[in-house]
Amino acid sequence: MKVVIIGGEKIAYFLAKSFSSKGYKTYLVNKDQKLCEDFARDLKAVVIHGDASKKKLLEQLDIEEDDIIVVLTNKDKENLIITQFAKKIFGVKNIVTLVNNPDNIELFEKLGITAVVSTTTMLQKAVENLLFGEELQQFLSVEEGKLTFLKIDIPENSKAVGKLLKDLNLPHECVVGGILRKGKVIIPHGNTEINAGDRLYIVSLPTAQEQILDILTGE
Amino acid sequence: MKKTNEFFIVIIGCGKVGGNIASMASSIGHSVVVIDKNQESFENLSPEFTGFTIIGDATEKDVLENAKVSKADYVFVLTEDDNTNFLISLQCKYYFGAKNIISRIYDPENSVLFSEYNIDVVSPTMLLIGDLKNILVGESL
Repeated sequence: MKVVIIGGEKIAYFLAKSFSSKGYKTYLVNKDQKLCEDFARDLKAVVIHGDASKKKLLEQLDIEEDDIIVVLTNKDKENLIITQFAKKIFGVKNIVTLVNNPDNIELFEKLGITAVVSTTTMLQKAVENLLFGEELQQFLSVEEGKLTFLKIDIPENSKAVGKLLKDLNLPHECVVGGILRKGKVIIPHGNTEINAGDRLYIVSLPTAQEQILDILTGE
Repeated sequence: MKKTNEFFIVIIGCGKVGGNIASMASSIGHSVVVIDKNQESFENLSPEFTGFTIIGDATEKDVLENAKVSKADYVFVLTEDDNTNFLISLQCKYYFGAKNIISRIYDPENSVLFSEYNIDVVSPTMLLIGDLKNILVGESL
């Protein structure tokens, strides 16, 4: 079994680093030659410079059914064709792909891609990063403003205090990705209770923003 | 002349092929919507073209929705890039239930993937190879 990471820069680098340190046979494929040179110098991984959306390149990789494929390019069309080649032609079962346009998440799911790393998931990671002193603004501009990332502190007198997340009637156009409570991050579920002083990180459509604010901070 | 088969056709990509086929379809009485990212591409349409044009990126769901892909009898996917055509074709199929999707592919290796999803393809590369092969075989006889 090998792990094949296609596309991506930083995420690809750190994933490859973590997989290879755990002893997995790790392959990196990237179109960017300079990046490939850096990868080859810094990582214990097989680095291949090329276009993975071409069937020939995937054949060269000797892809087998039990391999894990992680697709990270910033173009959904590339990610789609790569994941479908891997699945349909090479029979790979475990494929994870980055989806850049949230509209496409449904499509990838319908096509049976094992896991879709949506922006939401990335933002949950971002919440963790915040604990290490990263600036919130770094994660704000997603999808050219079509998706907003809200940070809301729950005031003492909010009507949301003491309620379960699922009972708040938050609009469907948002997801509470993380709660910062007393320095600890909680990934909330429907049954998570909202406390005063909680800091909520919410992924939402800009249109839902006002409604969310009202529900969470209104008295 | 009585029209028995009037189709609603969505054409994505208004290059030389898209523009010509759109003009032709429109001239014989079909309803045509053409989508292209660039306004200038619509210059490939004949002056007699009576269909609709939409400026937009057809890899975005909203654009396909505006074009009423769900009502189309035929969708021709004719952008310059195979990967783009694949994404658009699958969006048409899975989001809008389009039945007759015909896509252009340049790389013949991609045809197997399109056929996995019952998307018909036309490959200029294969057509050219076929034609040239006919010439060669013809001469050798």
